[in-house]
Amino acid sequence: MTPRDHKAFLKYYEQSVNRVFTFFYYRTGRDRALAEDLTSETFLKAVTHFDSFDQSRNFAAWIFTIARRHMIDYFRARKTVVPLDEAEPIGTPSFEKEVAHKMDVERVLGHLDSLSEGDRELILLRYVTDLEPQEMAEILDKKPGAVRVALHRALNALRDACSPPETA
Amino acid sequence: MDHLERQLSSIPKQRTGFLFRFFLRRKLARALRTSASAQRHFVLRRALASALAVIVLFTGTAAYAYASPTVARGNPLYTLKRSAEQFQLFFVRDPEARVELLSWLAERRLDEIQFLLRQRLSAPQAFLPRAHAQSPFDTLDPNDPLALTLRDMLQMTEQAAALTEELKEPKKVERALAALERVTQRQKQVLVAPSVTAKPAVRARIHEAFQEAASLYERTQAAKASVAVALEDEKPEVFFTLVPKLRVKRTEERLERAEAAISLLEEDANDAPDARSQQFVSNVKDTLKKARAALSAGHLEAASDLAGQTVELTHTITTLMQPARQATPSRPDTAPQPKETTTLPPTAAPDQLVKDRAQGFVQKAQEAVQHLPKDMLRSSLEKKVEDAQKALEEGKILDALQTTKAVRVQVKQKLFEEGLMQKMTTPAEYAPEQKPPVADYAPENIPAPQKPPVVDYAPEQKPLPPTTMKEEASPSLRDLETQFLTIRKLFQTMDERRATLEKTKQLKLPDDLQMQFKTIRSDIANFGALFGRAASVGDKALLEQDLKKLEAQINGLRDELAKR
Repeated sequence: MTPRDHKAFLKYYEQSVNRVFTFFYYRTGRDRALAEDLTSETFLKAVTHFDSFDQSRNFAAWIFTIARRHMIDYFRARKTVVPLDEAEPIGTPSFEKEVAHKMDVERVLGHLDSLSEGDRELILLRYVTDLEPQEMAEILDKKPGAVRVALHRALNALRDACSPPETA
Repeated sequence: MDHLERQLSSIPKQRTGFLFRFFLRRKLARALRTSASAQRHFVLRRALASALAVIVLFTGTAAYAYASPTVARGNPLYTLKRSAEQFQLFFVRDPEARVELLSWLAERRLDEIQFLLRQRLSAPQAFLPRAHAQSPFDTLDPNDPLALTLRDMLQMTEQAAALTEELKEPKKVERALAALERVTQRQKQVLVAPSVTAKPAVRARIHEAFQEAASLYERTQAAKASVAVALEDEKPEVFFTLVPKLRVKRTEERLERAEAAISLLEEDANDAPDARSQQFVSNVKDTLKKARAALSAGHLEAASDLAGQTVELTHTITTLMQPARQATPSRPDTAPQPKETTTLPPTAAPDQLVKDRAQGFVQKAQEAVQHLPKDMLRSSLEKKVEDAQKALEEGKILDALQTTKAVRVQVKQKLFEEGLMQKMTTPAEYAPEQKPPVADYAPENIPAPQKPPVVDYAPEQKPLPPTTMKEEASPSLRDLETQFLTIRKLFQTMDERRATLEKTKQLKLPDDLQMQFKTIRSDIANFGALFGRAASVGDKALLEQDLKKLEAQINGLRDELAKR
């Protein structure tokens, strides 16, 4: 690895550290400490494999691939920990602390946690970390069209979760 | 984008804290450096390992090349070996240490020679007699590894000897001489055996090296005596010479060998008297003449080179004339025979072909003796032939050949003196003795007169004997021979005086007169062949004319000497 590569990596790090952190933050149920740990570990893993990274490719897609796999590994190793699918929706207590104009967002976030893991991940990658469907396709190893369809379904699921139950 | 999507997009983007970013960045930078360093170390380790492997391989090969006597000339590693030696030699500046190192290196060359000889002995046709050799050329190529190694060995030994002369402190000289003695003694031991068993061309070269080693060994012994005296007398310096005398002696020996080879060659030329052979002989004699002249002028190097050329040329011509000689199997091997046969052991298992040839040579000498009148000389020569026969039966071929050769020369001389040449059935072979034309150049070959003349060539003090040319209108061949002998005697007397005066530094002849002496000497030497031809074709006129010319030349020279 040349000094130029070092600089390039640190530049990519600066550009993407917050997005990765945000992804982990929401994926770990807003556990900041855990998100920081996972972020650190992801970037340290990336350093050791940076030689294999083709710099003509999209760094965000590459780092999110590592982040996602790392997160899967992390939760797989900690099966005793409550799986995300079974995690209690959190957020309700914090609503009171939020200002009024953020109430809706918090509500959406609360419903987001109630979605399946796959749907939640799709929504987070697309709307929270601002990745394009092409980048997401690369991360998820799917075709962009398939990603769009899956994302559409996830949104519908979230929409269903957010709409109040119809009273007969 | 619908409402839900807008709501999702407005989910707050989380930012990591400054400290977190700072420390993670530092951690990453360290990880990057460690990774690069590890990679660099890996590359370095690999390079180091490769370099070590190369060094081990190189030093191993170099050590093998340096140590092994089987790495001789012709081996690809030989250059490496010699380079290592040169490197070693470069750092040894002390003369005494240098002598020891050079002696040791000369011994290494000797080991290589032994190896090369062994290698050739194992090759099936290397030492086969000439008749069985595949190549018609039996001479040793000057670029032959054996010849070159012999040369190197002699050069190193000579350098060591020259350096020994530079040492002045008796103790140091003693130690250097010990090293020199050891190497020359070993050279003698190693070179004596192949000098008998090798094929002629190789044998000649090895024998030459053997003689040089023997000569230097003797001088070393003499020098040791000087050192012993110096130590006894507590003299500060030792005076001795090893190399200059060695060089003169070596050159003289080479010239002697060349002469011996030429005289044998002349006999071959008489056997096959074609123009080409005669021309070859004439050429080689010219070279010998030049060598003698160079030696008398003190140009040792040139003389040595020319003598070497003469020997080489003689060997080549001998080989070229081989087909003619093979037709007469009674002829012996005509390779130059070493003069000092006493130093050589008898050939234990001589090749049958060589023995047969030697036998034929002895028989021929026996026949030649029968042509002599029955007198003391004849019985003495008959006795010698018997001795030669006896030596041959004992396997001492070299001794037998040398004795036989001496008998044949004496027979020829006697027959010529007696004027019985016409009676010979093969007049060409027993032509008058043809000594090499300028054989008298070497100072030791010039016989000292009974009373050295004090005054130079004054005509009144050296009356010429009357010649018979003008007294007889039509001289017979016998008369012409007598006349020639008289003229020859006159010239020889003049030449002897000249040599004596030059030796005692009373006379220094200019080049033109030197040249005249040489020309006449050469003409006289060639006159024998003219007599043989005149006897066979019956043409006396040409001979008479040449004789007159020769006499005129001698008279002219005498007048010129008197004038100056």
